[in-house]
Amino acid sequence: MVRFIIRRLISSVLVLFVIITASFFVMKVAPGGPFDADRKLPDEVKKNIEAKYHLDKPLWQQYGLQMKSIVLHGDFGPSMKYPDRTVNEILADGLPVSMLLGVQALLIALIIGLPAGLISGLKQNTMTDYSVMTGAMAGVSIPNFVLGPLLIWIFAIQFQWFDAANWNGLSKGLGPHIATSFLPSLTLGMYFAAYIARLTRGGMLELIRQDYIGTARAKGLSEKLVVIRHALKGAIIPVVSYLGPAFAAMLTGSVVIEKIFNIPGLGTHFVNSAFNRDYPLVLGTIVLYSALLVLLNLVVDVLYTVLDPRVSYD
Amino acid sequence: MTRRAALAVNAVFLVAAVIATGCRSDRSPPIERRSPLPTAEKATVETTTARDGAQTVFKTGKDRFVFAIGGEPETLDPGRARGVNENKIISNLFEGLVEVPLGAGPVVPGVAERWERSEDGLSYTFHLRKNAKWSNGDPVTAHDFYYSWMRVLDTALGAPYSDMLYVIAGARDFYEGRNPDPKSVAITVVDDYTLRVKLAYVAPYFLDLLAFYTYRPVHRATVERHPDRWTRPENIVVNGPYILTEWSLNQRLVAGQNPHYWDKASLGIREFEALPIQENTTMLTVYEGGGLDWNGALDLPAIKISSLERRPDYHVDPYLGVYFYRYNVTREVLADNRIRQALAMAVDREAITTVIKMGITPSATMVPKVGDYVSAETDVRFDPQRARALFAEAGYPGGEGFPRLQLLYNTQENHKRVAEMIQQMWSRHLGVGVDLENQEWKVYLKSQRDLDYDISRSGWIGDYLDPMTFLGMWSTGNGNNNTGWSDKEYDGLLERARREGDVKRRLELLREAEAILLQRGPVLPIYHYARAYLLNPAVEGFEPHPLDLHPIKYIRKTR
Repeated sequence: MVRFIIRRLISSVLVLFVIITASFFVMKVAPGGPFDADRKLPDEVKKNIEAKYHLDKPLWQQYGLQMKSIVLHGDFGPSMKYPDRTVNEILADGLPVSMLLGVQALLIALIIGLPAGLISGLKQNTMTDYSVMTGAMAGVSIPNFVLGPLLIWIFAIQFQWFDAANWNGLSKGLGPHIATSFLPSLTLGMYFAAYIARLTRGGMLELIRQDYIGTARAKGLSEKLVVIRHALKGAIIPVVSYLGPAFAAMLTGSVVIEKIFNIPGLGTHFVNSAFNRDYPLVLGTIVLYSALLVLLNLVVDVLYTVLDPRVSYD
Repeated sequence: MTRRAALAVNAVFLVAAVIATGCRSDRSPPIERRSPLPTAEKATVETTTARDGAQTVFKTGKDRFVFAIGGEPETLDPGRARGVNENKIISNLFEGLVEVPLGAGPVVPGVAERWERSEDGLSYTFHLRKNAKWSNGDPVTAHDFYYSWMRVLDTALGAPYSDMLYVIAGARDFYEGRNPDPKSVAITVVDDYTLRVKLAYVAPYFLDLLAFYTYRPVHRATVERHPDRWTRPENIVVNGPYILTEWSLNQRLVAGQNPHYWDKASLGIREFEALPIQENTTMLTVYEGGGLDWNGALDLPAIKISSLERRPDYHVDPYLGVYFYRYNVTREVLADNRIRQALAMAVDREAITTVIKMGITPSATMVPKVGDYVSAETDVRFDPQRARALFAEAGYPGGEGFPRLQLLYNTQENHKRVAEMIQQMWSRHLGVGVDLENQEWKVYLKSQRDLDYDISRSGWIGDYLDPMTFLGMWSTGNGNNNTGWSDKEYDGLLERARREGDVKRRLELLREAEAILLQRGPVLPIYHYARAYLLNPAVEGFEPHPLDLHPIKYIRKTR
């Protein structure tokens, strides 16, 4: 197990290295630069600014400087778009927001998805089952850029229960935080709730036919206990293995939602830094996202062995 | 959606909301509303009713002013800023020698309480008020301005708008290293409260420039103590009416009154808040939810204009900008002025502005109305018959044998609509085939700069209130020309205007220059901009300004 983890960590570093290198050169190929605007900078001015950010050096030297700074100091350097801030600061500001949004969305997805899936699985082929699965189908197919504005229109504009957009961190208090974060979390979590419902239902259906469930029933356990003690644990395995990719997808997939609800997370920087040609910030977000994805996948693989004794990496 | 369907949908989401937030009681709303209004205010909250029934209940508060900016400000350092978003905040934090007035009109005293201009129009002497203070209590002196301007001319700062100071004698040579002696820059501190500036050429708009953010002062000790972090709320020292109290990346900027501001007694707003919002549709929902007093730096969503323009809180003011097409005159066919004129004459501008709306006015001139300047006359107007005749004269009767033209624009819905209409007009009136090409902003800028286009969509917003801001760029080799066009007579007229001390005569020269630009220049003007905006009806002290500048110093709210 330990050897497996070490092996994976080493290969992760290699993966990250390749990603940084590829991203660095690809972004430099894109036409235009960070200091281009419709009002052109005088050549002298532009030369001075570019020298300040080493953009006047040959590409391989820029690459060397950037790599050195990242590897030795974990420092992506100053943002070219926001000269008052470093990339590390910007990422440190955005990551907790995206994480919080992701965690809340995941919670909502579980709170809605798990019970729905369980009920549906237990009452297979009943009206309840059909309605839940129809709902799940809708949840999977409605795109978030439709669901988001719809929720805003209903709950923020008509009922005025929540704010239409913007973000209050937890430091502003729980009430104000929920007022701004509930709708985006729900929008983000809906797709995953639907998916989790389907997974749970599938797991449930498979499990309920297993011999050991029959044994449990034969022992005279009540149906409720059978489900809670025996079926649930097995039914949840596919959900758990889905949680890692789901959380990663929420982190990286919140771009659209961050735009609709104007949330100051990483997704905003991920997209805008590319449009702004803010090279250090592009690199920073890409590296951070990649590291998160690699890490989450590793965690899921490890969790798998804990939950399902049939899986082993040794 | 029918009412019943809507109710059903609401019910479903209501259940979800209750489950998710763990609220058991079905009587209390699941979520406490943010900052509930005090009971006294509740009865009198401002309500705006549009014809379609949407209501806006403003929740921003009587002594607070909340507006949107189109994204996170790059910096709040006046010397390093370069944009509208930044300006909306910086101009309320730092006070220049002279200031933007309430509404259109000449600048008003800022830190300088009076000033003199020499006969030849080249020298200015400013007398600073003695009661102007920094937010830490230090007096604001002529040394502060000297330091701040020389800082912008220091190449190490990387100030993007250094060239705004080139109007000062010696500034350009110093910045570009031809004269390393700082004393060669004609900024003189006569005494603590007197500053003298000598200009490199005649520029009656110099006073307007002084109100531009690049010329606003910074506090030397603070800047030197925290080089890259002096604009943070915990470090910042300002001399304007408001001081930054909170700056959360991509969330909000909040500023309260500066206790040391010399004119503090006149302030009506206790605190202003700027919300960086990128999508104009998101901005609109926030406004409709009562979270904004003004859309600020964001445009209103084009697709919503038809319904918005019926609202009582919708306004349109003139805005100093021109929407036009550039011709790349290094292309063989476009080098022929008859072709350029014919293309311009085949464009029906009114047809375009009726579709785009938002208060814009069709125009065949390049300089919008500014001060006493009257735009040059032009006979290049919509006239398909003359257009066809010119085309035939140039050797392409009925468009026969004419190569297809590529029309470049940056990706945006409105640019696309205009381009499609013009594509159709050229095809109908001249038989010219046009290929539309849209590019992402920075790619588009590069194509334009590299002259890698035939015809390119362009826009220009004035930097200051003078025709020169629209005419200077077309001189030979100017960095913003981007057309390959060069005209000796035109260059000569601009040069003469720069040496003309008589204000009237100077405008005449500029007018002659514009006439040449319209007669044989590389541009096809389409319309002059307007600023369409939504404003909380409770706001007063907010007047139309050609550069959309509205000092918060003058703003009051009745509710």
